[in-house]
Amino acid sequence: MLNQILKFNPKESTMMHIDLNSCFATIEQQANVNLRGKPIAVAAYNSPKGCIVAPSIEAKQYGVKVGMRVMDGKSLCPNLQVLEPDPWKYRNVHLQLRKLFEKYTNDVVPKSIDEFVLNLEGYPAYKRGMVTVGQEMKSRIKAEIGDWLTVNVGIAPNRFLAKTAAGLHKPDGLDEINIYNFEDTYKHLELEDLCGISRNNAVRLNRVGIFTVEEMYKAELWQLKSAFESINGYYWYVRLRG
Amino acid sequence: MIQDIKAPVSVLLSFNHRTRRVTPKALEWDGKRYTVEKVGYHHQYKKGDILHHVFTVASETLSFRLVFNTKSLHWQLEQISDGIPD
Repeated sequence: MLNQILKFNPKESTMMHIDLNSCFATIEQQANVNLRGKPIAVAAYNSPKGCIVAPSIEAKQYGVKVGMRVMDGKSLCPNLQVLEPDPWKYRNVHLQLRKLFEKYTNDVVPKSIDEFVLNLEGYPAYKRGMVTVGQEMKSRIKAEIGDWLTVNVGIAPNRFLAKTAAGLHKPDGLDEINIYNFEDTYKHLELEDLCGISRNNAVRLNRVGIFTVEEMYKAELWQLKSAFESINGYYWYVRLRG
Repeated sequence: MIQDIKAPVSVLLSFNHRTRRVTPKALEWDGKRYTVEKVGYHHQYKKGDILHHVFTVASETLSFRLVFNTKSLHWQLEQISDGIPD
């Protein structure tokens, strides 16, 4: 019954998700000009068994990932330069970003040190168009905070889809998921691309015959309820509908 | 290579009252003078009740991490880097 009533949310996109690409590593490259364009990693300790907390975009191209040990990172990328974290620096960038976003809306929610969710509904900036505002924010970040900093911007009717949109084209992307393009976007996503669907949750969905995001969207509420065996089934049902 | 130094350093600084920007212009360390080509990032932190300003600047070949202690009004060079892997 609910499936027949609940179509994708026709509301205009008002939510914006912004996240800084490879946050700690990019900030280190912003500060130290000589590290720009080079594979670097911020690790808890600069010792072989230290844990990598943030590889740069260049290091990621060599396969260096968050959670790896420094020695494993260096075996993948012998030129990898390892830095220890400088939390004050990252905090300063976070506060500068927050101050900038608060010029557009009072409804700014920091989700982590490098992620923000903005609701522009009812604010003057919204009238200029979400995409225009997103592009303006990206250029203001470069001009006012750091010319090496790039962010992913995701725009959607709800914050979940805004986060999903922010992850579509990394790094330095700007994407929108709305009623006009959601079906096409879902076709190109895998279940584990959705924030909150890990391998175990994907297996739960597979058990009820759901293998793609498109199938997950088209699934009936009872299918999702039986897959998750909790209120999460309902949450996923409405999330994917904006 | 990134090397921790922690040594006193002389810094030439300029303040533009129109843009309200403070910019290190040059530094002198170990008998050599380096002209600052670019300020990568400026941030601040507190250690106890003392505010420190950190400027990460680059000369033609090296990057320097300069820390200004607002209580003693002294500068310290904390780190140099040439961008070449160890």
